[in-house]
Amino acid sequence: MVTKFIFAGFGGQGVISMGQILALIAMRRGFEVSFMPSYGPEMRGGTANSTVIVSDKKIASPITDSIDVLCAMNGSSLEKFSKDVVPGGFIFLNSGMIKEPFIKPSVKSVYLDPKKMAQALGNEKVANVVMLGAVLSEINIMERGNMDDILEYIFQGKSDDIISLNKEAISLWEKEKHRL
Amino acid sequence: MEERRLMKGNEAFGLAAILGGARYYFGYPITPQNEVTEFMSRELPNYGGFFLQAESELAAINMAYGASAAGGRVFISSSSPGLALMQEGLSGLASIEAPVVVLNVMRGGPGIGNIQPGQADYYQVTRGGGNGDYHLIVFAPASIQEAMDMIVEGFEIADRYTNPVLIAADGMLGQMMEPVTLPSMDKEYSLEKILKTKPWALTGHKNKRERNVIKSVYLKQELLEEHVLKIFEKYDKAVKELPSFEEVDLKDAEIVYVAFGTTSRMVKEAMELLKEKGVKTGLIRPKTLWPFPREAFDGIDKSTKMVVSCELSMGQMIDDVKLSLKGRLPVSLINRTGGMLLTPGEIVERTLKLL
Repeated sequence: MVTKFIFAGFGGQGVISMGQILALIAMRRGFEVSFMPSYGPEMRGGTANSTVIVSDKKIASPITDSIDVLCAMNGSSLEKFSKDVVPGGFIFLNSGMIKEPFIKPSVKSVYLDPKKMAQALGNEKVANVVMLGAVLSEINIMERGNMDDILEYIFQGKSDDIISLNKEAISLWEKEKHRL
Repeated sequence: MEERRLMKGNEAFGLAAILGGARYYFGYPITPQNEVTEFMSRELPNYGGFFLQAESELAAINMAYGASAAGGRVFISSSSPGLALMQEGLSGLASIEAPVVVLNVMRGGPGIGNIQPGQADYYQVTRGGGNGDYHLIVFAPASIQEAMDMIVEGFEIADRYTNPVLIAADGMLGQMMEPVTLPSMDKEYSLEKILKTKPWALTGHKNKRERNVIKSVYLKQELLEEHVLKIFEKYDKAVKELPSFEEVDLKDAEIVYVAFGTTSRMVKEAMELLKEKGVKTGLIRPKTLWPFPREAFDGIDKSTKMVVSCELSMGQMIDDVKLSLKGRLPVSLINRTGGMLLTPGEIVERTLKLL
Protein backbone atom coordinates (compact mmCIF):
# COMPACT_ATOMS: atom_id res chain seq x y z
CA MET A 1 0.00 0.00 0.00
CA VAL A 2 1.54 3.30 -1.17
CA THR A 3 0.06 6.75 -0.54
CA LYS A 4 1.46 9.81 -2.29
CA PHE A 5 0.89 13.27 -0.85
CA ILE A 6 1.64 16.71 -2.24
CA PHE A 7 1.42 19.79 -0.03
CA ALA A 8 1.55 22.96 -2.11
CA GLY A 9 1.21 26.69 -1.59
CA PHE A 10 3.07 29.99 -1.27
CA GLY A 11 6.44 30.04 0.44
CA GLY A 12 5.73 30.81 4.10
CA GLN A 13 2.45 28.86 4.35
CA GLY A 14 4.22 25.92 5.93
CA VAL A 15 3.89 23.35 3.16
CA ILE A 16 7.45 22.11 3.66
CA SER A 17 6.86 21.67 7.42
CA MET A 18 3.58 19.85 6.78
CA GLY A 19 5.41 17.32 4.64
CA GLN A 20 8.22 16.93 7.17
CA ILE A 21 5.83 16.41 10.09
CA LEU A 22 3.81 13.82 8.13
CA ALA A 23 7.05 12.05 7.15
CA LEU A 24 8.14 11.91 10.80
CA ILE A 25 4.76 10.65 11.99
CA ALA A 26 4.72 7.93 9.33
CA MET A 27 8.30 6.88 10.11
CA ARG A 28 7.52 6.67 13.85
CA ARG A 29 4.49 4.54 12.97
CA GLY A 30 6.85 2.08 11.25
CA PHE A 31 6.27 3.01 7.60
CA GLU A 32 8.82 3.57 4.87
CA VAL A 33 8.74 7.22 3.91
CA SER A 34 10.35 9.77 1.61
CA PHE A 35 10.10 13.55 1.70
CA MET A 36 11.04 15.72 -1.27
CA PRO A 37 10.85 19.51 -1.04
CA SER A 38 10.67 21.85 -4.00
CA TYR A 39 11.02 25.58 -3.70
CA GLY A 40 12.72 28.59 -5.21
CA PRO A 41 15.54 30.63 -3.70
CA GLU A 42 13.10 33.00 -1.89
CA MET A 43 12.44 32.75 1.88
CA ARG A 44 8.88 34.15 1.52
CA GLY A 45 6.59 34.19 -1.49
CA GLY A 46 7.23 32.20 -4.61
CA THR A 47 5.72 28.74 -4.85
CA ALA A 48 6.70 25.82 -2.68
CA ASN A 49 5.62 22.22 -2.41
CA SER A 50 6.64 18.99 -0.78
CA THR A 51 6.02 15.42 -1.85
CA VAL A 52 5.66 12.74 0.80
CA ILE A 53 5.40 9.04 -0.07
CA VAL A 54 4.25 6.67 2.68
CA SER A 55 4.49 2.94 2.02
CA ASP A 56 4.73 -0.42 3.73
CA LYS A 57 7.44 -1.35 1.19
CA LYS A 58 10.73 0.22 0.11
CA ILE A 59 10.00 3.41 -1.83
CA ALA A 60 11.13 3.69 -5.45
CA SER A 61 10.46 7.16 -6.85
CA PRO A 62 10.41 10.04 -4.34
CA ILE A 63 8.56 12.20 -6.89
CA THR A 64 5.21 11.43 -8.48
CA ASP A 65 2.80 12.32 -11.24
CA SER A 66 -0.06 10.30 -9.71
CA ILE A 67 -1.15 12.03 -6.49
CA ASP A 68 -3.40 10.32 -3.93
CA VAL A 69 -3.75 13.30 -1.61
CA LEU A 70 -3.32 16.93 -2.65
CA CYS A 71 -3.30 19.67 -0.08
CA ALA A 72 -3.75 22.97 -1.95
CA MET A 73 -3.07 26.00 0.18
CA ASN A 74 -3.72 28.44 -2.68
CA GLY A 75 -5.38 28.68 -6.08
CA SER A 76 -2.28 28.34 -8.23
CA SER A 77 -1.31 25.10 -6.45
CA LEU A 78 -4.77 23.69 -7.07
CA GLU A 79 -4.49 24.61 -10.73
CA LYS A 80 -1.00 23.11 -11.05
CA PHE A 81 -1.53 19.76 -9.30
CA SER A 82 -5.28 18.89 -9.35
CA LYS A 83 -5.00 17.27 -12.81
CA ASP A 84 -2.58 14.68 -11.39
CA VAL A 85 -4.85 13.54 -8.55
CA VAL A 86 -5.93 9.94 -9.22
CA PRO A 87 -9.55 8.66 -9.09
CA GLY A 88 -10.43 7.84 -5.49
CA GLY A 89 -7.99 10.51 -4.31
CA PHE A 90 -8.51 13.50 -2.04
CA ILE A 91 -8.06 17.23 -2.47
CA PHE A 92 -7.90 19.41 0.64
CA LEU A 93 -8.62 23.04 -0.21
CA ASN A 94 -7.72 26.09 1.80
CA SER A 95 -11.09 27.85 1.55
CA GLY A 96 -9.55 31.02 2.97
CA MET A 97 -7.59 31.40 -0.29
CA ILE A 98 -9.69 29.43 -2.78
CA LYS A 99 -13.16 30.98 -3.13
CA GLU A 100 -14.40 29.18 -6.25
CA PRO A 101 -15.97 25.75 -5.69
CA PHE A 102 -13.82 22.98 -7.18
CA ILE A 103 -15.27 19.78 -8.56
CA LYS A 104 -13.31 16.87 -10.01
CA PRO A 105 -15.21 13.63 -10.73
CA SER A 106 -14.28 10.65 -8.50
CA VAL A 107 -12.10 12.83 -6.24
CA LYS A 108 -13.24 13.82 -2.76
CA SER A 109 -12.87 17.51 -1.97
CA VAL A 110 -12.53 18.70 1.62
CA TYR A 111 -12.85 22.44 2.34
CA LEU A 112 -11.47 24.13 5.40
CA ASP A 113 -10.03 27.48 6.40
CA PRO A 114 -7.03 26.43 8.53
CA LYS A 115 -5.88 30.01 9.15
CA LYS A 116 -9.26 30.96 10.65
CA MET A 117 -9.30 27.81 12.76
CA ALA A 118 -5.73 28.48 13.94
CA GLN A 119 -6.67 32.06 14.86
CA ALA A 120 -9.38 30.61 17.10
CA LEU A 121 -6.58 28.74 18.91
CA GLY A 122 -4.79 32.05 19.34
CA ASN A 123 -1.92 31.65 16.82
CA GLU A 124 -2.40 31.61 13.06
CA LYS A 125 1.11 30.21 12.57
CA VAL A 126 -0.20 26.71 13.28
CA ALA A 127 -2.60 26.87 10.30
CA ASN A 128 -0.44 24.29 8.51
CA VAL A 129 -0.65 21.87 11.45
CA VAL A 130 -4.46 22.33 11.55
CA MET A 131 -4.51 21.44 7.83
CA LEU A 132 -2.29 18.40 8.37
CA GLY A 133 -4.58 17.30 11.21
CA ALA A 134 -7.52 17.40 8.79
CA VAL A 135 -5.57 15.31 6.27
CA LEU A 136 -4.68 12.70 8.91
CA SER A 137 -8.28 12.66 10.14
CA GLU A 138 -9.79 11.98 6.69
CA ILE A 139 -7.14 9.62 5.26
CA ASN A 140 -7.06 6.30 7.04
CA ILE A 141 -3.62 5.10 6.07
CA MET A 142 -2.34 4.76 9.60
CA GLU A 143 -3.76 4.49 13.03
CA ARG A 144 -3.82 8.00 14.39
CA GLY A 145 -3.66 6.96 18.02
CA ASN A 146 -2.23 9.49 20.39
CA MET A 147 0.20 11.73 18.52
CA ASP A 148 1.37 13.60 21.61
CA ASP A 149 4.64 11.70 21.90
CA ILE A 150 5.43 12.24 18.22
CA LEU A 151 4.76 15.97 18.44
CA GLU A 152 6.94 16.15 21.55
CA TYR A 153 9.71 14.44 19.55
CA ILE A 154 9.27 16.78 16.56
CA PHE A 155 9.18 19.97 18.62
CA GLN A 156 11.80 18.94 21.17
CA GLY A 157 13.66 21.95 22.48
CA LYS A 158 10.64 24.25 21.95
CA SER A 159 8.62 25.69 24.83
CA ASP A 160 5.76 23.75 26.43
CA ASP A 161 3.34 26.37 25.06
CA ILE A 162 4.45 25.69 21.47
CA ILE A 163 4.15 21.94 21.99
CA SER A 164 0.66 22.08 23.51
CA LEU A 165 -0.47 24.54 20.81
CA ASN A 166 0.61 22.10 18.10
CA LYS A 167 -1.08 19.20 19.92
CA GLU A 168 -4.33 21.19 19.93
CA ALA A 169 -3.86 22.23 16.29
CA ILE A 170 -3.34 18.71 14.95
CA SER A 171 -6.52 17.37 16.56
CA LEU A 172 -8.70 20.45 15.91
CA TRP A 173 -10.36 19.20 12.71
CA GLU A 174 -11.14 15.81 14.23
CA LYS A 175 -12.87 17.57 17.14
CA GLU A 176 -14.61 20.31 15.21
CA LYS A 177 -15.53 18.80 11.85
CA HIS A 178 -18.98 17.64 12.90
CA ARG A 179 -19.86 21.16 13.96
CA LEU A 180 -18.55 22.88 10.83
CA MET B 1 16.36 -2.93 15.29
CA GLU B 2 18.49 0.19 15.49
CA GLU B 3 16.65 3.48 15.73
CA ARG B 4 15.83 5.09 12.40
CA ARG B 5 16.35 8.82 11.99
CA LEU B 6 14.67 10.99 9.38
CA MET B 7 17.56 12.90 7.85
CA LYS B 8 18.03 15.40 5.07
CA GLY B 9 20.47 14.06 2.47
CA ASN B 10 23.06 16.82 2.83
CA GLU B 11 23.18 16.51 6.63
CA ALA B 12 23.36 12.72 6.40
CA PHE B 13 26.32 13.00 3.98
CA GLY B 14 28.18 15.19 6.46
CA LEU B 15 27.42 12.87 9.36
CA ALA B 16 28.56 9.85 7.33
CA ALA B 17 31.87 11.59 6.63
CA ILE B 18 32.40 12.22 10.35
CA LEU B 19 31.43 8.64 11.22
CA GLY B 20 33.80 7.46 8.49
CA GLY B 21 36.64 9.22 10.29
CA ALA B 22 36.90 12.52 8.38
CA ARG B 23 38.49 15.14 10.61
CA TYR B 24 39.27 17.81 8.00
CA TYR B 25 36.67 19.60 5.89
CA PHE B 26 37.28 22.48 3.50
CA GLY B 27 34.42 23.99 1.56
CA TYR B 28 32.93 26.95 -0.21
CA PRO B 29 29.14 27.44 -0.25
CA ILE B 30 27.12 26.41 -3.30
CA THR B 31 23.50 25.30 -3.61
CA PRO B 32 22.17 22.57 -3.50
CA GLN B 33 24.83 21.28 -1.05
CA ASN B 34 25.02 24.19 1.42
CA GLU B 35 23.66 22.12 4.30
CA VAL B 36 26.79 19.92 4.10
CA THR B 37 29.03 22.91 4.80
CA GLU B 38 26.63 24.22 7.46
CA PHE B 39 26.49 20.80 9.14
CA MET B 40 30.27 20.35 9.12
CA SER B 41 30.87 23.84 10.56
CA ARG B 42 28.51 22.97 13.42
CA GLU B 43 29.37 19.33 14.06
CA LEU B 44 32.96 18.60 12.99
CA PRO B 45 34.59 20.56 15.87
CA ASN B 46 32.52 18.46 18.32
CA TYR B 47 34.42 15.39 17.10
CA GLY B 48 37.82 17.05 17.40
CA GLY B 49 37.82 17.88 13.70
CA PHE B 50 38.88 20.95 11.76
CA PHE B 51 36.45 22.98 9.63
CA LEU B 52 37.52 25.78 7.34
CA GLN B 53 35.42 27.79 4.91
CA ALA B 54 37.81 28.56 2.09
CA GLU B 55 37.74 31.70 -0.05
CA SER B 56 37.02 29.67 -3.20
CA GLU B 57 36.70 26.11 -4.47
CA LEU B 58 40.23 26.38 -5.84
CA ALA B 59 41.52 27.14 -2.35
CA ALA B 60 39.39 24.37 -0.78
CA ILE B 61 40.74 21.60 -3.03
CA ASN B 62 44.32 22.75 -2.44
CA MET B 63 43.75 22.78 1.32
CA ALA B 64 42.49 19.21 0.94
CA TYR B 65 45.68 18.47 -1.01
CA GLY B 66 47.84 19.69 1.86
CA ALA B 67 45.85 18.05 4.66
CA SER B 68 45.75 14.72 2.84
CA ALA B 69 49.50 14.83 2.07
CA ALA B 70 50.05 15.26 5.80
CA GLY B 71 48.03 12.09 6.49
CA GLY B 72 44.66 13.60 7.47
CA ARG B 73 41.36 11.99 6.58
CA VAL B 74 39.79 14.68 4.39
CA PHE B 75 36.25 15.28 3.13
CA ILE B 76 35.23 18.03 0.72
CA SER B 77 31.97 18.79 -1.04
CA SER B 78 30.69 20.99 -3.81
CA SER B 79 28.20 21.09 -6.66
CA SER B 80 28.75 20.95 -10.43
CA PRO B 81 30.21 24.41 -11.28
CA GLY B 82 32.17 24.34 -8.01
CA LEU B 83 33.56 20.91 -8.87
CA ALA B 84 34.63 22.31 -12.25
CA LEU B 85 36.84 24.77 -10.37
CA MET B 86 38.44 21.88 -8.46
CA GLN B 87 39.58 19.88 -11.49
CA GLU B 88 43.20 21.03 -11.43
CA GLY B 89 43.46 19.98 -7.79
CA LEU B 90 41.83 16.59 -8.43
CA SER B 91 44.38 15.81 -11.16
CA GLY B 92 47.10 16.81 -8.70
CA LEU B 93 45.66 14.64 -5.91
CA ALA B 94 45.60 11.62 -8.23
CA SER B 95 49.21 12.31 -9.20
CA ILE B 96 50.51 12.70 -5.64
CA GLU B 97 48.38 9.64 -4.70
CA ALA B 98 46.52 11.35 -1.88
CA PRO B 99 43.27 9.88 -0.54
CA VAL B 100 40.34 12.33 -0.31
CA VAL B 101 36.58 11.75 -0.44
CA VAL B 102 34.87 14.34 -2.64
CA LEU B 103 31.08 14.76 -2.67
CA ASN B 104 29.46 16.27 -5.77
CA VAL B 105 25.79 17.18 -5.27
CA MET B 106 25.09 17.63 -8.98
CA ARG B 107 22.87 20.38 -10.41
CA GLY B 108 21.74 21.61 -13.83
CA GLY B 109 24.40 22.85 -16.27
CA PRO B 110 26.32 23.84 -18.36
CA GLY B 111 27.79 27.05 -17.00
CA ILE B 112 26.27 28.37 -13.79
CA GLY B 113 23.08 26.54 -14.87
CA ASN B 114 20.59 26.35 -12.01
CA ILE B 115 20.11 24.78 -8.59
CA GLN B 116 17.83 21.91 -9.68
CA PRO B 117 19.05 18.26 -9.74
CA GLY B 118 21.09 17.00 -12.69
CA GLN B 119 23.37 14.18 -13.85
CA ALA B 120 25.22 16.03 -16.60
CA ASP B 121 28.52 15.85 -14.69
CA TYR B 122 28.93 12.22 -15.81
CA TYR B 123 31.72 13.19 -18.20
CA GLN B 124 33.24 15.59 -15.66
CA VAL B 125 33.52 12.90 -12.98
CA THR B 126 34.31 9.82 -15.10
CA ARG B 127 36.37 11.35 -17.92
CA GLY B 128 38.08 13.96 -15.79
CA GLY B 129 38.13 17.71 -16.29
CA GLY B 130 41.69 17.78 -15.03
CA ASN B 131 44.77 17.25 -17.17
CA GLY B 132 46.80 14.14 -17.72
CA ASP B 133 46.34 10.40 -17.25
CA TYR B 134 44.27 9.77 -14.14
CA HIS B 135 40.92 8.48 -12.89
CA LEU B 136 38.67 9.25 -9.98
CA ILE B 137 36.94 6.30 -8.35
CA VAL B 138 33.26 7.25 -8.64
CA PHE B 139 30.26 5.96 -6.66
CA ALA B 140 26.64 6.83 -7.51
CA PRO B 141 24.21 6.41 -4.58
CA ALA B 142 20.45 6.07 -5.18
CA SER B 143 19.26 6.64 -1.60
CA ILE B 144 20.42 8.62 1.41
CA GLN B 145 21.27 5.41 3.27
CA GLU B 146 23.32 4.12 0.35
CA ALA B 147 25.12 7.48 0.10
CA MET B 148 26.07 7.28 3.79
CA ASP B 149 27.38 3.75 3.38
CA MET B 150 29.34 4.71 0.24
CA ILE B 151 30.91 7.73 1.97
CA VAL B 152 32.07 5.59 4.91
CA GLU B 153 33.41 2.89 2.57
CA GLY B 154 34.83 5.62 0.32
CA PHE B 155 37.43 6.59 2.93
CA GLU B 156 38.68 2.99 3.13
CA ILE B 157 38.85 2.72 -0.66
CA ALA B 158 40.57 6.12 -1.03
CA ASP B 159 43.20 4.97 1.49
CA ARG B 160 43.60 1.54 -0.14
CA TYR B 161 44.08 2.98 -3.65
CA THR B 162 45.70 6.25 -2.49
CA ASN B 163 43.43 8.09 -4.92
CA PRO B 164 40.50 10.52 -4.66
CA VAL B 165 37.07 8.89 -4.40
CA LEU B 166 34.10 10.87 -5.69
CA ILE B 167 30.50 10.42 -4.56
CA ALA B 168 28.19 11.51 -7.39
CA ALA B 169 24.93 12.47 -5.69
CA ASP B 170 22.43 14.96 -7.07
CA GLY B 171 20.35 17.88 -5.83
CA MET B 172 17.38 15.63 -5.20
CA LEU B 173 19.31 13.32 -2.89
CA GLY B 174 20.82 16.34 -1.13
CA GLN B 175 17.49 18.03 -0.46
CA MET B 176 15.16 15.09 0.24
CA MET B 177 14.66 13.32 3.58
CA GLU B 178 14.54 9.59 4.25
CA PRO B 179 14.89 7.39 7.33
CA VAL B 180 18.44 6.15 7.88
CA THR B 181 20.24 3.92 10.34
CA LEU B 182 23.69 5.24 11.17
CA PRO B 183 26.84 3.43 10.07
CA SER B 184 29.04 2.49 13.01
CA MET B 185 31.86 4.84 13.94
CA ASP B 186 35.54 4.25 13.20
CA LYS B 187 36.78 4.74 16.77
CA GLU B 188 40.42 3.86 16.19
CA TYR B 189 41.14 6.89 14.07
CA SER B 190 44.18 8.59 15.56
CA LEU B 191 47.56 9.96 14.58
CA GLU B 192 49.24 6.66 15.56
CA LYS B 193 47.01 4.86 13.11
CA ILE B 194 47.90 7.33 10.38
CA LEU B 195 51.58 6.74 10.91
CA LYS B 196 51.09 2.99 10.60
CA THR B 197 48.90 2.99 7.47
CA LYS B 198 50.36 5.99 5.66
CA PRO B 199 54.17 5.69 5.72
CA TRP B 200 54.27 8.18 2.83
CA ALA B 201 52.56 10.98 4.81
CA LEU B 202 54.39 14.20 5.55
CA THR B 203 54.32 13.92 9.32
CA GLY B 204 57.83 15.19 10.12
CA HIS B 205 60.85 12.85 9.98
CA LYS B 206 62.61 14.29 13.07
CA ASN B 207 65.90 12.92 11.65
CA LYS B 208 64.67 9.37 12.44
CA ARG B 209 63.83 8.28 8.90
CA GLU B 210 64.38 9.30 5.29
CA ARG B 211 62.35 12.35 4.41
CA ASN B 212 59.13 11.77 2.46
CA VAL B 213 58.68 13.70 -0.77
CA ILE B 214 55.27 14.32 -2.34
CA LYS B 215 55.21 15.95 -5.77
CA SER B 216 53.42 15.91 -9.09
CA VAL B 217 56.23 17.36 -11.17
CA TYR B 218 58.56 14.93 -13.00
CA LEU B 219 60.64 16.89 -15.47
CA LYS B 220 62.40 13.81 -16.86
CA GLN B 221 59.94 12.16 -19.24
CA GLU B 222 61.17 8.64 -18.37
CA LEU B 223 60.36 9.25 -14.72
CA LEU B 224 56.90 10.70 -15.44
CA GLU B 225 56.02 7.74 -17.64
CA GLU B 226 57.20 5.39 -14.91
CA HIS B 227 55.10 7.30 -12.36
CA VAL B 228 51.97 7.17 -14.53
CA LEU B 229 52.43 3.44 -15.18
CA LYS B 230 52.67 2.88 -11.41
CA ILE B 231 49.40 4.77 -10.87
CA PHE B 232 47.73 2.77 -13.64
CA GLU B 233 48.71 -0.51 -11.97
CA LYS B 234 46.33 0.59 -9.20
CA TYR B 235 43.64 1.43 -11.77
CA ASP B 236 43.99 -2.04 -13.34
CA LYS B 237 43.39 -3.46 -9.87
CA ALA B 238 40.41 -1.12 -9.33
CA VAL B 239 38.83 -2.28 -12.61
CA LYS B 240 39.03 -5.88 -11.34
CA GLU B 241 37.96 -5.22 -7.75
CA LEU B 242 35.56 -2.30 -7.60
CA PRO B 243 32.81 -2.41 -10.27
CA SER B 244 29.48 -2.70 -8.55
CA PHE B 245 25.87 -2.74 -9.76
CA GLU B 246 22.32 -3.77 -8.96
CA GLU B 247 20.28 -5.76 -11.45
CA VAL B 248 16.50 -6.06 -11.42
CA ASP B 249 14.31 -8.47 -13.44
CA LEU B 250 16.73 -9.07 -16.32
CA LYS B 251 15.20 -12.49 -17.00
CA ASP B 252 12.67 -12.41 -19.87
CA ALA B 253 12.95 -8.61 -20.11
CA GLU B 254 12.05 -7.11 -23.46
CA ILE B 255 13.69 -3.80 -22.62
CA VAL B 256 16.58 -3.25 -20.20
CA TYR B 257 17.04 0.20 -18.69
CA VAL B 258 20.38 1.49 -17.46
CA ALA B 259 20.09 4.26 -14.86
CA PHE B 260 22.14 5.50 -11.91
CA GLY B 261 21.39 7.52 -8.80
CA THR B 262 17.91 8.92 -8.15
CA THR B 263 16.88 8.38 -11.79
CA SER B 264 17.02 4.61 -11.18
CA ARG B 265 14.23 5.03 -8.62
CA MET B 266 11.89 6.70 -11.12
CA VAL B 267 12.76 3.86 -13.53
CA LYS B 268 11.87 1.23 -10.90
CA GLU B 269 8.42 2.74 -10.47
CA ALA B 270 7.98 2.99 -14.26
CA MET B 271 8.88 -0.75 -14.46
CA GLU B 272 6.00 -1.60 -12.11
CA LEU B 273 3.58 0.50 -14.19
CA LEU B 274 4.78 -1.20 -17.41
CA LYS B 275 4.38 -4.64 -15.82
CA GLU B 276 0.68 -3.82 -15.33
CA LYS B 277 0.52 -3.07 -19.07
CA GLY B 278 2.16 -6.41 -19.91
CA VAL B 279 5.58 -4.99 -20.87
CA LYS B 280 8.50 -6.84 -19.29
CA THR B 281 11.43 -4.61 -18.42
CA GLY B 282 14.67 -4.96 -16.48
CA LEU B 283 17.19 -2.60 -14.95
CA ILE B 284 20.96 -2.38 -14.60
CA ARG B 285 21.91 0.22 -12.01
CA PRO B 286 25.64 1.02 -11.92
CA LYS B 287 26.70 1.77 -8.33
CA THR B 288 30.19 2.62 -9.56
CA LEU B 289 30.47 4.95 -12.57
CA TRP B 290 34.24 4.47 -12.72
CA PRO B 291 35.14 1.67 -12.96
CA PHE B 292 31.96 1.13 -14.99
CA PRO B 293 30.41 -2.32 -14.31
CA ARG B 294 30.72 -3.67 -17.85
CA GLU B 295 30.19 -7.29 -16.75
CA ALA B 296 26.64 -6.37 -15.71
CA PHE B 297 25.73 -6.38 -19.39
CA ASP B 298 26.67 -10.07 -19.74
CA GLY B 299 23.56 -10.79 -17.66
CA ILE B 300 21.19 -9.41 -20.30
CA ASP B 301 18.75 -12.12 -21.43
CA LYS B 302 18.25 -13.33 -25.03
CA SER B 303 14.68 -11.98 -24.76
CA THR B 304 15.97 -8.38 -24.66
CA LYS B 305 15.48 -6.35 -27.85
CA MET B 306 16.70 -2.96 -26.72
CA VAL B 307 18.71 -1.19 -24.01
CA VAL B 308 17.58 2.25 -22.85
CA SER B 309 19.87 4.64 -21.00
CA CYS B 310 17.84 6.91 -18.67
CA GLU B 311 19.72 10.03 -17.66
CA LEU B 312 19.27 13.62 -16.48
CA SER B 313 21.63 14.81 -19.22
CA MET B 314 21.75 14.87 -23.01
CA GLY B 315 23.19 11.34 -22.87
CA GLN B 316 26.63 10.86 -21.32
CA MET B 317 26.56 7.47 -19.54
CA ILE B 318 25.12 6.10 -22.82
CA ASP B 319 28.73 6.05 -24.15
CA ASP B 320 29.72 3.52 -21.47
CA VAL B 321 26.53 1.55 -22.11
CA LYS B 322 27.47 1.26 -25.80
CA LEU B 323 31.09 0.33 -24.97
CA SER B 324 29.82 -2.38 -22.65
CA LEU B 325 27.36 -3.81 -25.18
CA LYS B 326 29.93 -3.81 -28.03
CA GLY B 327 27.17 -3.36 -30.60
CA ARG B 328 25.15 -6.41 -29.48
CA LEU B 329 21.89 -4.50 -29.04
CA PRO B 330 20.39 -1.17 -30.13
CA VAL B 331 20.66 1.57 -27.48
CA SER B 332 18.12 4.38 -26.98
CA LEU B 333 18.01 7.35 -24.65
CA ILE B 334 15.20 8.57 -22.38
CA ASN B 335 16.32 11.80 -20.75
CA ARG B 336 15.56 15.25 -19.41
CA THR B 337 18.14 17.92 -18.72
CA GLY B 338 18.67 21.44 -17.40
CA GLY B 339 17.32 20.54 -13.95
CA MET B 340 14.11 18.89 -15.23
CA LEU B 341 13.25 15.48 -13.76
CA LEU B 342 12.06 12.28 -15.41
CA THR B 343 8.80 11.24 -13.76
CA PRO B 344 7.72 7.56 -13.76
CA GLY B 345 4.79 8.54 -16.01
CA GLU B 346 7.04 10.15 -18.60
CA ILE B 347 9.36 7.12 -18.66
CA VAL B 348 6.35 4.84 -19.30
CA GLU B 349 5.01 7.07 -22.07
CA ARG B 350 8.37 7.38 -23.84
CA THR B 351 9.08 3.65 -23.48
CA LEU B 352 5.76 2.74 -25.11
CA LYS B 353 6.72 4.93 -28.09
CA LEU B 354 10.01 3.00 -28.47
CA LEU B 355 8.25 -0.38 -28.73
